[in-house]
Amino acid sequence: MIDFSSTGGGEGVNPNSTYQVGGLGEFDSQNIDLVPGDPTVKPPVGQVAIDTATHISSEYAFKVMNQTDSPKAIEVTYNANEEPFPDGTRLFLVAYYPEGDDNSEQEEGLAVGAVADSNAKSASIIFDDQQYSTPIGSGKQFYVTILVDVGGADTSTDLGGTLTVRAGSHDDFTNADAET
Amino acid sequence: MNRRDVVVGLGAIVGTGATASGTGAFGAAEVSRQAEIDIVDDSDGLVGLVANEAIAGVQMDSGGELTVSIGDDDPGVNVSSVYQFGAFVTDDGVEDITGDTFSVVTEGDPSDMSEGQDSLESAFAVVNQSAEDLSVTVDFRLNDDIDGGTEYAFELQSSQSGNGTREGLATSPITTTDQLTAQLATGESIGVSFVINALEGVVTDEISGSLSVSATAV
Repeated sequence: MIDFSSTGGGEGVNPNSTYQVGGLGEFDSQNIDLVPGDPTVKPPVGQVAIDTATHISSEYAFKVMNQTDSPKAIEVTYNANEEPFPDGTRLFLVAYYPEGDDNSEQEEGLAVGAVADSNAKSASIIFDDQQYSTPIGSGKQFYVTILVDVGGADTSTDLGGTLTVRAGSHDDFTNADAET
Repeated sequence: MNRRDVVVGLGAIVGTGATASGTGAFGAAEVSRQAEIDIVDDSDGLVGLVANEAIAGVQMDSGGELTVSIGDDDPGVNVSSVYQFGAFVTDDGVEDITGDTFSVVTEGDPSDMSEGQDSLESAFAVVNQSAEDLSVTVDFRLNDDIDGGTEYAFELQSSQSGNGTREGLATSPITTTDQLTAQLATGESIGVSFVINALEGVVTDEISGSLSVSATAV
């Protein structure tokens, strides 16, 4: 469960604000402007993030672990309750897999809402035998940071949704290579 | 009101994996979880921006954002007058602004939000309404376009552990940015109150400004 309300009295995110849950500190300073998507959506994560110093492996919203004894393809999607999001409002889920061979295999992301040039690669986090991606090794994990960027949207707007994690040879697994 | 930036650390919320007996082998798996993220009025945000409902000109606009609007399309400050918006912790350093004709209203802990509007004496407050301690930075910028002799003073206050403290005082003419950082436990707050002296002012005098709030979980 991801819940932006609090026992401290807060019930959500302010209009015209940015909230980030987790850090993006281990991201490559250049590659963070190339995530998410192929081609990269506009704006990229790097232009919206407000904490690129805290290491994601120590502060993250959640992590996904492969607790099987073989590598697994894993995809994370976010289906919003209400689409489209209001103008200027977007949500990013940004993933970091330390065992990836290079930046492009380590750093993945998805974007929902007000971004330009959306594509199959930007619609979900993909760790698979695809371009700029690799399956998650046995016993390994990747970390996810959540970034909510709110424009001048009306209050009571619902940015919630369903977070789905698919693993293995799932029929609905996205093949971003087929759409580039 | 400028943007509000908040970094919140929640740690691990979900550990999703796949564990089976024997080899742990499986062909495909799918797990779904719900996310609840609502846009709410500033007063209900995890970082709450709360207008004192008893103070004229300090209010929530139709978009749910805190605004301070005195004059323009709203009632303004008369020439040849002194107005105070919210209580100060102390009148130290303000005597020259208010002159001999006005006594600054003070309270021990004006930005106290422990009883909501009933205890709030500041013009408005920034409140930690998250479940964790926050390091909150308030970036306060003022610009004036004053042809007459209008003077003003803004006091930044904190309410922590039941004690009110003046954290900063900005008096006219202000040409710099004031920045205040305070660590706030859940329910603690920062307040802003201000005085405008238009005894020597003219009707075209104008003060504008912006408040930017950043918060990081600590």
